[in-house]
Amino acid sequence: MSNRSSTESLKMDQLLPPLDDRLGPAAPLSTAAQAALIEQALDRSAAIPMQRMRRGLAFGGAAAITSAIIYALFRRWLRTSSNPVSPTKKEAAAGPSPMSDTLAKTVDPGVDSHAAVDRESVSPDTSSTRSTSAKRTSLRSTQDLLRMASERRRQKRFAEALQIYLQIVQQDPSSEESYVAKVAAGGLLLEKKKQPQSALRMFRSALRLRPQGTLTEEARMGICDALALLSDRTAEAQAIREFLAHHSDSPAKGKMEARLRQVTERLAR
Amino acid sequence: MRLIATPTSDPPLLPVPTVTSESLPPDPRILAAQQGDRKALASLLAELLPRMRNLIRYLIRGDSDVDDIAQEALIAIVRGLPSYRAEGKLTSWADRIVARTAIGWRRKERRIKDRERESAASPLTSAAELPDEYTLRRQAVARLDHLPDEQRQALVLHHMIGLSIPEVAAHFAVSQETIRSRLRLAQGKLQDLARTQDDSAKTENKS
Repeated sequence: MSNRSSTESLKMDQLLPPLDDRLGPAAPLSTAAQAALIEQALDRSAAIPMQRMRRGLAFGGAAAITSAIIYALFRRWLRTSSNPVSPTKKEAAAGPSPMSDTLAKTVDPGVDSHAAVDRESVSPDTSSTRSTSAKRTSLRSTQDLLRMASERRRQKRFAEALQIYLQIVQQDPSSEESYVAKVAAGGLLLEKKKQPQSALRMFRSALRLRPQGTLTEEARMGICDALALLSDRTAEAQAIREFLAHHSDSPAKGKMEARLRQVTERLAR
Repeated sequence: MRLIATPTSDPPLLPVPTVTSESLPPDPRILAAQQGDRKALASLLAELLPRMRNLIRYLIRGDSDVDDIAQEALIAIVRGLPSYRAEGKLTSWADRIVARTAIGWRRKERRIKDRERESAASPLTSAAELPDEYTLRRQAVARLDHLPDEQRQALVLHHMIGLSIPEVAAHFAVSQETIRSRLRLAQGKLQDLARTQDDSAKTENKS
């Protein structure tokens, strides 16, 4: 019996490939699409009501975060309604606090601290209150739009998702949502619409908007993929070199080096 | 035995083994992610995602639901991360959450409607450019697609994730003998399928 089991076990090793993070058996997914999947998951996780969070965090954590949100909203209300200039300058001098940074990312990802400083510093007159208020409404709605786009994407309604991403880009081109939307739209244009030129514009625009952003690697990878689809080998080789120079610790490093060798060989022929 | 804290109670929770002797120094990103650092969290998830997608594909038929399930599993991981104590490998911990999500997903799907079973893996447009290893894995998963769900899931949980037979039995709320029987049947069928494929390949070569 034990012999039989070990024989079967050996055969199972041959029949079942190992579970790892290499290619297969799941169908390939581009880095940009993976990044979009993760961003959507993070956005959806952030939208989950506090009472559904784990019991261990439900009381202390929720109370602390809620207080922080109320405090942040109160400070922002004070800043815009009373004196839009001085508190911003104080904040800029003091640098962003870890809590406000976390809040900006988890609760209100539409607010970019540097962009907010610039907007408020250059227009200290009373009209800035209205424009900032309008801007805030617009930022909120781009957040909603981003959620809608994620939902459409989840439902595989890619054309509608793409339209919403483009709307976000048009509505508030410098927001964090716009940055995410540009990378996501680039991925959809590339994979679903097979429009590498438009995808390229989106990825490059995202890189210009946030040169040190969290999706930089995905945007650069998207540029490489778009150029490959355009058969522009010289530009693709250059884009891969840039990718490797900026993301030397990327998990895709080996793959990209191999790809660079292939492209360089093709160019040499 | 410690259990994964996850937001819903159906299906039963999978046990998390404590692997203290093989534990590596904790990844600093884990602590940062537990404290709400979105960048660290995104980086961890990006590392886990390819393995997660592979495990999901081993557990379910066809490619169409893989990314939807992956997203649900990512959310479950984000929600459960505060409970992770770095006692075992993060991948082992995540594997159990992914398996639970994927198996739960199939259960939900079955409740809603009778889906037509996809007999084989979906074709890929650029399969010719993909490495042999990928093709072999697709062949293996195509064989798994012929197994009934219960046998397939027991096989993957036992042979791929490394759950013991009592753990698999506890997950499905059935006896250990039932799981042994499912594993025997699944192994037999997989071997038959592999033999049939070999025979047809030989016949094709001869002709």
